[in-house]
Amino acid sequence: MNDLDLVRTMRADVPPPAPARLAAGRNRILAAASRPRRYWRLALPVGAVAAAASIVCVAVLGGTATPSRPWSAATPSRPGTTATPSRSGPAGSHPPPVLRASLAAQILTVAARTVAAEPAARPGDQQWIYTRFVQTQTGTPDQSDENWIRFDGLEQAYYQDGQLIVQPESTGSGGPLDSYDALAALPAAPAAILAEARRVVGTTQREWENWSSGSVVAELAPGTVGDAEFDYLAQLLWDAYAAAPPAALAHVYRAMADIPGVTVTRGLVNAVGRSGIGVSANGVSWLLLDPRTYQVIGLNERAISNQSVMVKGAPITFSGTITMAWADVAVVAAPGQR
Amino acid sequence: MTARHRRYAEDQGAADTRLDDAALIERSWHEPEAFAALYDRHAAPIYRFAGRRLGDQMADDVVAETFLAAFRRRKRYDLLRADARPWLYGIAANVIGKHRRAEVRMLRAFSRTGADPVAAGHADLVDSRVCAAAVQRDLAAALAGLSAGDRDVLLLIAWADLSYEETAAALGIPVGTVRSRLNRARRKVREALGGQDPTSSNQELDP
Repeated sequence: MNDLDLVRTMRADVPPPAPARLAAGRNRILAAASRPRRYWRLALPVGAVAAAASIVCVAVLGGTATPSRPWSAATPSRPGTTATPSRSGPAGSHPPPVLRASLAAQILTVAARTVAAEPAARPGDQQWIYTRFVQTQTGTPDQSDENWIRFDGLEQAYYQDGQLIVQPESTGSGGPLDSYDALAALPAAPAAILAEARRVVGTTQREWENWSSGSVVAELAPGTVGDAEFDYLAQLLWDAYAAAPPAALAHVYRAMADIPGVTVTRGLVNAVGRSGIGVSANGVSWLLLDPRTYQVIGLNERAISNQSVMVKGAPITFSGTITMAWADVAVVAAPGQR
Repeated sequence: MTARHRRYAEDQGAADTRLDDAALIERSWHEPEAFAALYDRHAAPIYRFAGRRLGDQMADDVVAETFLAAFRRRKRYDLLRADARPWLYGIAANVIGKHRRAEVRMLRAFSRTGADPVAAGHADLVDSRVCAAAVQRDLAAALAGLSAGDRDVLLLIAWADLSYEETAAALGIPVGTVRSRLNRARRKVREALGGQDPTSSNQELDP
């Protein structure tokens, strides 16, 4: 017996899973497949962008967004919220988007101040959160999905064929409370938040891609560490749809302002027609903020033209936009109530 | 209507068993429920792999998370790859990687005490595990001491029965890297086994 065979003997008597355990996992897949849920979305169709142009109105100067910004993960320090030459990154690796960056920084600073002034409102662990999620995609019917989840994430509910199904969730992981706590646990300083983002998403392309495979907001794999940091923060905000600690929300906006190349765009419209201010790191996916309250109201993405999906060896391209919104979010007394 | 669409129509009534994984995944693009058939095919061995590394309780979540992640990224699947196992194991390895500390903690506990926490979920196994041979305890210590990347390669090959090429595809690394990681992992295992080197006689390095 060689060493590899010996490794094979270790824990070799662990039995195959009991059918009941497998069935439980299967139900979770079917639940995700049969109805659009919080953690599920259609893949972004990629291809030419035409439709997007009509709704995107870049309210900033400084040229068009560059999807692939060379920017080294090894940057030793972070520039501040005001535009400075250092914003151009190491070795002048990309042209300094001074006006763009400063407008983005200004708006995000206003956003941070505004949300920080809101009173904290954290639902009780056992309170139910009602959400109506709407997703639109060019060329496909709009999808609307109602869901109830307990704040602690330990129970979920939805209507199926007119019947309210209430399901226990084993860990509550990924629930509203988890998302609230994840934001609350962030450090306050923008640099520390971005360091935490890099710790989670990694510092190499492959690590970002792995991370982004589980992310709702990062349909396109991040192209730079800045994209990855932004996606990480946008995901935290998106997940905290039920409630977010105001101070932490403000800290995240300030951290976003420090990511090189972040831009803002006015006049974007979310999945249910509300207009918002878009914030983006890659010029492709936009986190939409309410222009008055600066709360997150949606995610918009547009297809880009330099990617296609390979189907049996042949490239297929799509075009259009995808938008998502938490159309309604409310604390309710019981599942099934709106 | 393209040939691709026509094939969907023809596939509608076909038994899932007649489709390879790639065809099943492609079908699930339009019929999300078809993804359940992929689960039926591959969940049990992946569950066992996860259970062997982290125990039953965590395996529940690892498998669910693995297939949910696979479902979400199904449109990125390379349809030229007929067998989805490397893809699924690669995702599972990532998910398991999030529990790296727990995995190492349990291996160390096994090595120290001779009682395997992973076996705690299997009452019928506890008796045999309590008096695990010293060599198993040394093995656990060796696995705990490996880097995460080396451990992934060693266990995908030894426990999931993936080939070098499949392991490379699963982890997104070159086959040469698989070989060097495996060699390093095996060397450490042999070192940990110390005087009782099982390869001392006429054993080959390759499996």
